[in-house]
Amino acid sequence: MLGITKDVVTEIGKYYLIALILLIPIPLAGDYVTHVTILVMLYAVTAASLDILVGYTGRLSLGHAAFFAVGAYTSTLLAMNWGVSPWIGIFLGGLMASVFGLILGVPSLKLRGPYLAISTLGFGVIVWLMLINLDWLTRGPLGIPGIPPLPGIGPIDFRSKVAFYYVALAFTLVSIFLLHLLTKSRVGKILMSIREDEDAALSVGVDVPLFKVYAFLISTFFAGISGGLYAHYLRYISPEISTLGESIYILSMTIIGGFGTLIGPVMGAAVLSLLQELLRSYLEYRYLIYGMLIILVMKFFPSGIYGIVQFILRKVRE
Amino acid sequence: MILEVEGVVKRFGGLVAVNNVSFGVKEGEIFGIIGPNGAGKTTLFNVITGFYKPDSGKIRFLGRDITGMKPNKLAKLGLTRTWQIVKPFLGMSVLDNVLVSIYATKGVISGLNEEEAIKKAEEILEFVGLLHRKEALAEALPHGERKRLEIARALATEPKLLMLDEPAGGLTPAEMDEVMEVVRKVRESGVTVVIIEHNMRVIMNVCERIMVLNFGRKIAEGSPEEISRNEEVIKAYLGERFHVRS
Repeated sequence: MLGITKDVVTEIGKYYLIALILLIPIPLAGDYVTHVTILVMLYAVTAASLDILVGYTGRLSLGHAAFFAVGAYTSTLLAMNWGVSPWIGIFLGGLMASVFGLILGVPSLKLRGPYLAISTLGFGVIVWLMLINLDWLTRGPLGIPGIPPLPGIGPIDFRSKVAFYYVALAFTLVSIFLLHLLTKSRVGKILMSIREDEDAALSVGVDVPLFKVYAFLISTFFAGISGGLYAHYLRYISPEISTLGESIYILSMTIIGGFGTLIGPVMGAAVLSLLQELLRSYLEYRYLIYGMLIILVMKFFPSGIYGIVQFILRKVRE
Repeated sequence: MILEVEGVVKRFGGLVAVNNVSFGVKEGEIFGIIGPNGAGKTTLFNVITGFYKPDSGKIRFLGRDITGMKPNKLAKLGLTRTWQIVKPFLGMSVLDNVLVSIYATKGVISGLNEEEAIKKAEEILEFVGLLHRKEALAEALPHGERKRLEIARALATEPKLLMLDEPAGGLTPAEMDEVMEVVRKVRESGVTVVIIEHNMRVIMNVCERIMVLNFGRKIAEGSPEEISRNEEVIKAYLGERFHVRS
């Protein structure tokens, strides 16, 4: 299906099995480590989803936090106003994020380079302003406290960090695995052809606008689901999750991790989140640091942390 | 006639890049378009292949009106072009470069299964002499091989009419011969070919009929011998002064 052969599934699948085995014992390290790992995983999916746009389709987005926020608010409002189960609400939040992806993706089809960057940036700011100003719906800058947790299954209570950890782990591995398969599929190769040269892709029969829209739909869907999980985990959200700074934070993970590699952004999410934990007392300077890191990576290691890790592995093997 | 072009005009502001050009291409031939720099060859090419919309005129392909149709639709109908400045998908393997054409024209979900698609891509790479490079990234290929990859990628769309924009541009004489050999083989396999070319040796050798453009207008059409004896063409290429003296 879609050019994904059994070989590809087993070849990639084994890495996810290893990751699963390594990540299962994390809660033994205590609540704090579990908490940080949960956030890393949610950011990892968001950064990997952004990579489908930035790294694979060549469409820079400076507003990805908006889709994360749309997913978070959709699921929250559905649960609190209409009693929709968060298990369904999170999925609907992903779909709503895709609708917003469509709203941004279709008009920006013909834009390239800085123009696209500005329009995505503007879109992110619009969503942020909406969340602040539609206070009858979103309570504005106060945010929404008391979001219901994921409903328990039998004796399992997802208010516990450990229980939630395994939900997040399953979600993360499945999402990144699906995105990984996508990049190896026919769709992935067509997206890459658009990244490499839109006109050449058109001339060999690629429906470029259609596949750009697909990329937007898929990318924003996963960002939205991550947002939903985030909301039901922390049980408090505010427009702060959709700021330009947040979008740039996610983009930094994608770029510093190594865009166009999918696994790079996952590494980027881990490294930047740890950095953030270590530099808690210098939080105001963090964008300065991310900015410098992005410039350094783009200049000296365009393939990011992923490229550095591969380079080291190669040296070790020799 | 596989391709009929009728009174095509393309303007850019005050400049008339293509001025009322009409011609037809017969099924199975190699048709050349020549002209000095700025004659409007590439603009005409872009109009036919859907990258520009003509200001007026009609284009028919296989009897069907294709004026203003999108390039990806045309590729699916069987009209595919290559680029003067080659545009390989640099970060992808040679095989993937060709596979994209197959996926795009045959369908991503339906269409060929993966083994068939790869087999077909490999046959095409064999045809242009690049099979031994299939695992390489396109960015690792030298210019001559990129030109052949460009043709392979176009052939993978199964064109009935292949439009080549300066396939020999920037090549050494040896590389040029290789590319021309491929073009002849393409025609033998039943594909009609239209070539824009600067290199007279190439065009005179390989084309059956030639159209000459100058300042956006068609100034001559005929066999290579007729063209090489045509006064207007000599004037356009060598200049008025040279013509008078000779």
